[in-house]
Amino acid sequence: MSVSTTVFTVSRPARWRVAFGQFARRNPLGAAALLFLAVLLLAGVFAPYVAPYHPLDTDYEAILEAPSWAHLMGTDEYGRDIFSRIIYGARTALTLAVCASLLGCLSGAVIGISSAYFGGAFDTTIQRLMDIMLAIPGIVFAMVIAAVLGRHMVFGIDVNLVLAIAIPGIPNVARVLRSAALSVRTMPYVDAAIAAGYSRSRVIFRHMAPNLIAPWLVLVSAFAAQAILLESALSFLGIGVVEPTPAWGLMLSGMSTQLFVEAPWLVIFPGLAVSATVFAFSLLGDALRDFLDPRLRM
Amino acid sequence: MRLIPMSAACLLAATHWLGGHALAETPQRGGEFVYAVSQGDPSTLDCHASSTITTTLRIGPHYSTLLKIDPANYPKVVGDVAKEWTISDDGLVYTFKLHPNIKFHDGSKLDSEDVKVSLDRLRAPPPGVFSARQSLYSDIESVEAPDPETVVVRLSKPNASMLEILAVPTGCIYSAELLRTDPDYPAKKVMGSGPFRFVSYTPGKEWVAERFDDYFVEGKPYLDRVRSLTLTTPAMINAIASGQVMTDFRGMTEADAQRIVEARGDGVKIYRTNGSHNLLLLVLPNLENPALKDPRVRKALAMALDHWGGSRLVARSTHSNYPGGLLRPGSEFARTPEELSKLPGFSRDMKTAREQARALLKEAGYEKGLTLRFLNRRPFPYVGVFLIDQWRQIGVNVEHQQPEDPQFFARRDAGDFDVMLNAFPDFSGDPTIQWGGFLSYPENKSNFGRFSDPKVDEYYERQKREMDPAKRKQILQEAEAYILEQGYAMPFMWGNRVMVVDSRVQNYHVTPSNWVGLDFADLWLKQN
Repeated sequence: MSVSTTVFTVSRPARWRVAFGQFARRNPLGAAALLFLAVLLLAGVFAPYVAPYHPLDTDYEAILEAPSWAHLMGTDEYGRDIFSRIIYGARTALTLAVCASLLGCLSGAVIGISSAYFGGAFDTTIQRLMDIMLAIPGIVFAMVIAAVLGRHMVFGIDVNLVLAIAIPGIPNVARVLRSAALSVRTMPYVDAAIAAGYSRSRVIFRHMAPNLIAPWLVLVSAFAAQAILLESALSFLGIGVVEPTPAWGLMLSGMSTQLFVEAPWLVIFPGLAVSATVFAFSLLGDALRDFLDPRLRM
Repeated sequence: MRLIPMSAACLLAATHWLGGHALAETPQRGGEFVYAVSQGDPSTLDCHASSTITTTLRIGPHYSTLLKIDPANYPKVVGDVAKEWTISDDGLVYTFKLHPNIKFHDGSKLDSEDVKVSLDRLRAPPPGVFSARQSLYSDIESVEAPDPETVVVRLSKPNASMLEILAVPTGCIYSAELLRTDPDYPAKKVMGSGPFRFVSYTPGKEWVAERFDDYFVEGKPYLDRVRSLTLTTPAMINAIASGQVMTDFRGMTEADAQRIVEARGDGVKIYRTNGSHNLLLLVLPNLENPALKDPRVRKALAMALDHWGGSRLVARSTHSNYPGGLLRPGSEFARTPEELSKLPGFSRDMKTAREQARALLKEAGYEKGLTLRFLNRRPFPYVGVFLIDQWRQIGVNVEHQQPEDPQFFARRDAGDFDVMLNAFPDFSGDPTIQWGGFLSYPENKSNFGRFSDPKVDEYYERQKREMDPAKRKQILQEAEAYILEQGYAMPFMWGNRVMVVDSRVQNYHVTPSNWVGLDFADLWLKQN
């Protein structure tokens, strides 16, 4: 007697797809922002295939040409294709934004959570230090760091520029995460971990930090938006990215300031790129906050 | 009947023309000449110590020199305190007769002793005093003052450029009496015998001068006051466009000039040199870099540059857009564009030139490419845009570095670069004055490319001693070809001087150098 068995397999969608579906249903604007940033990221990664020209290609036959089929966003004062430079500029913007926001948010998280955990004189000292840093306007702070450190390229990234963008944002992250960590610190499971004799680092990193991921992700997103603005401002002021690197802020400076009446496309398209990306990061941050905060979900 | 009105009309027209012409030609006294300085504040008040125009733009009206370049007939040398001069047949003795009754601004008399002491300070400065152009005066053996109105300059060897050297705008005549009490007084106090006396200086803001009534040239200067404002380049353009200042001697792009004309109409006038400005932007390879030691690599870098196309490319961004070799285009020594196009870096067939450049790199072992650091100054980003694009096309990757000026100069002097941009601005395009930087390193610290080549030294010496202009031209052109073939220097572009001057300013002559005519003795303002 033969027994035949039929196996029914129920294919379940991947967890990330479920999560994204929920996220998109609850926050359609946030999903659109995420999609925009994903497209931007892909365009930056595959820039050589997407951009019609090399970003450094100069053409003295096509100087300051208005938008056309040959040059969708026109050309600049050296005949370089603006659309191609914006695509390649996404690499510069996103690389700096991701590096600076991760560095700033990780440092801020370590400072904020440690400050909350240890409390006392350590907390007071750290918080006064953060007060001093907060008293200096972000752009001035970044300008001083960029001017003092100069440029130092590692794997094509100006690490000093990353520091100049990241450091001024650390106090904000530290402050927000400290207050979140203070409430987590009073939770019974933290007391239990301490009572069980776990080391301080284990308590902080294994028991407190995972419960602060939600606000941290929101901060990363907001930080990235600020990083793009700051990078653009520094490049505009001549102390960020240098010519001929395709960078949105740099595209807004130099001759663009003198030719904005004669050739408005020089400022419109890079300006739109900066604004749209910053807006997308801000929308994403808001959406993540709504999605991850259980109180707001209720 | 018809004859009388016709004659009367002709007479009237002739009278009107003559009258108008005579009025236009007769200088009027009075008024304040206001100009912008977009190069920043002077680093020193001592013109002997200065090699940049920032100092001359301020102190030019306060001092006299022995000779000067005539702005109306550039590069002709004319007397300033010297009334006339003779040169001995062997070219070794120059005898100058001075104008009588020349006074310093403090009322003391200027005589041959002041000229002698000033020339000695330039050629052999006392301890603690810096003479920026000391090497130019190395052929002067002695300076004598046999009587109060005679100066005798004796040379050890003939020098074809000696008159130009004695006309250098930074060769200010100082008071011998004041120098005796303080050899460094010019760094602290502005006191000369020029057409204007010093009134005030507010760093970052303005410099004010007023007419010196005892100026030794009868009837001059015409202006009552001269005032210069320290402005950034965009502010300078706006200030001229709004009529707040009358000009800026740096010059500007054609696009900026047109913008001002649109705003001011007949209120301003455009002056062009119709030839190059005496400012050469030069790219120098560092021969201490192992790759750049190889002449094939240097030649490949030079060959990859499309100067003719590049000239059109940077025209919107800068007035340095005039292709030329090491000899100023339009000067008596320069090649024609056709002759120039046979030299490396000036080919009109860029496809072939780049193929040859790639072949040279391959031969030198850099088939897979080469990475270089380009040290550039902040005001010249377009040079970086141009070079990086050009060299990218032969497989050379360039990192563009634009530090602040103090860092730039420190790195330049320390040789911390692979290729760098050097600007050669000067009052004269004479190669003896401009080519000092090509003399062999390490004896010559201003050879920033750090090369040492006895053949270049020999060319320099030969052209300096050659008194026959035709033979000198031949030597200079041979030297130019040799330096470019060896890739010791790669010219980027020469300046193309475009000036916008308020229409009220009269007797202004644009010259290939913005160092010339800065005493303002001949300028006058047409009153409304």
